[in-house]
Amino acid sequence: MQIVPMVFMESPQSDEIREVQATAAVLGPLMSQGWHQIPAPVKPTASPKETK
Amino acid sequence: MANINELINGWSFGKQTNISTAALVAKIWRLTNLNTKPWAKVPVNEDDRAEIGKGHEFPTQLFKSHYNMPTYELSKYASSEFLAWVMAFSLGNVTLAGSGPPYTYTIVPALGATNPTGLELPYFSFVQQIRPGGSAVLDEILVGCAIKGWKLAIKNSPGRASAMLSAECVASGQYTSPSTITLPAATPLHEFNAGMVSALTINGIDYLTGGAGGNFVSLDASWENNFRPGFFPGSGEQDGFQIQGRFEWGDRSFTVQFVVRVQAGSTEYANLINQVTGPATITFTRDVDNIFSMAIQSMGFSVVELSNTDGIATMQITGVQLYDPTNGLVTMSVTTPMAAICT
Repeated sequence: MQIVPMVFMESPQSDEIREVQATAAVLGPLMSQGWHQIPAPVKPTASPKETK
Repeated sequence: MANINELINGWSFGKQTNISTAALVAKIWRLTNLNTKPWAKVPVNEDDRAEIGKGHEFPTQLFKSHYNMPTYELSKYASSEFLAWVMAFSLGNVTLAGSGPPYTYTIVPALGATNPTGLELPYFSFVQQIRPGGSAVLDEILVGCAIKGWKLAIKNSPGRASAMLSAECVASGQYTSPSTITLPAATPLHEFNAGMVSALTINGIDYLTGGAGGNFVSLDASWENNFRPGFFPGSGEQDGFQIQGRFEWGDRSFTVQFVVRVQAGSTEYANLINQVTGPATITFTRDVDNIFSMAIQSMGFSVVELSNTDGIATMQITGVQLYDPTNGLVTMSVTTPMAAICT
C-alpha cells in the first residue's frame, strides 16, 4: 500500500496549522479557501541529560 | 551571423525572491522550445512632436520612454515537469509533497485576499543564449518574468503533438547581459500523449468508457491572468528606460472548449438545456511517477453547436467553469520526478 505523504498547511488568518494528507481531495478545498503550505515545524529536541 | 537552431533557452524552475532579483543559477533548467524566436526586448523612445514652442510641428529630440516587452510563448509538448511548472507559476497557490521522487504538486488559483504576495504571482528568470562566451551573439538573462496565461490542447492525433502545452509569458524589462550563466544540460522530460489519458469525464459524461466512450475529438483549456500594466513611481529603470515593477492579475478567466462526436442519445444538448452542472476530470497517466490531473469542480455548458470535424458529425461545446464555494474553481495535481518547482 502506498503511503500518502503529509504536509503542513496554515490557515489564511495564520491562526491554525494542520498536518494533512497531501491528496488533491484533501488539499483542494483547503487551498481554495486560502490555506497555504508551510515548512514542517521544528520538533523540540530532547534536553541533554545533566552530567555529574 | 548565427543559425536560430543555436538558440538555447533556460529558465528558473524556482521562483525569484522578488521581481527584481534573479533566480539562483542552481534553480535554472535548460529546456527546448517549439517557439523558434528569441524573446525580443523593445525599448521605446518618444519625441517632442506634440510640444509647441519649437516654431514647427516636427520632432527635434528623442527621449527614453520605457521597455515595451512583448509577450513570449513557451510552446512545448505536455510533460509532467512542464505542466507542474506552468500551473504553479500561473495559478500561484502550490503545495509540494514528497521527500524524494516522485513529487506531487497540488495547485489552485491563489486568492488575492490570502496570497502572501497579494495579486502578484511567482516570478521567474529567463536565459537565452546564442554562442555564449567571449563572442556571444546573444547572452542575457531576463529578470522578473511571469506567466500571463497558458493553453492546454488535447486532440485525436498520434504522438506528442496530441497533448500540447504553451505558456504566454511577460517580462519586466530588467535584464543582465552577458548573463554569465552556463546553462546545464537539457532536462529530460516525461511527456504525455493522448493515448495516456486515463480519465476523461465532463459534466457526468465519461468519454473513455460507456456509451460516450470514443466520442472525444479534442479539448482546449486555457487560463488568462489579464495582468495590469506595472509602471508606477519607483517601478525601476533599465538603460534609462522605465520598466515594470509588478504584474498584478486582473479579472482572471478559465475557458474550456471541447469537441465530441454526435451519436444517438447524446446528452450534451440535454445538459445545456437543463442547465446540468457537474465536475470535469481529465487525467494523464504515463506511469506512477508522471501523472497530471485537472479537476474542474463544477462545469455547465454555455454553447453546444453541431459541426463537422473531418467529415464526422460533431458537437463543439463551450463550458462554463463555476466556482464552488467549498472546492474552488479548479485543482491541478501533478506527480513528477522534478523537485523544487516554484520553491
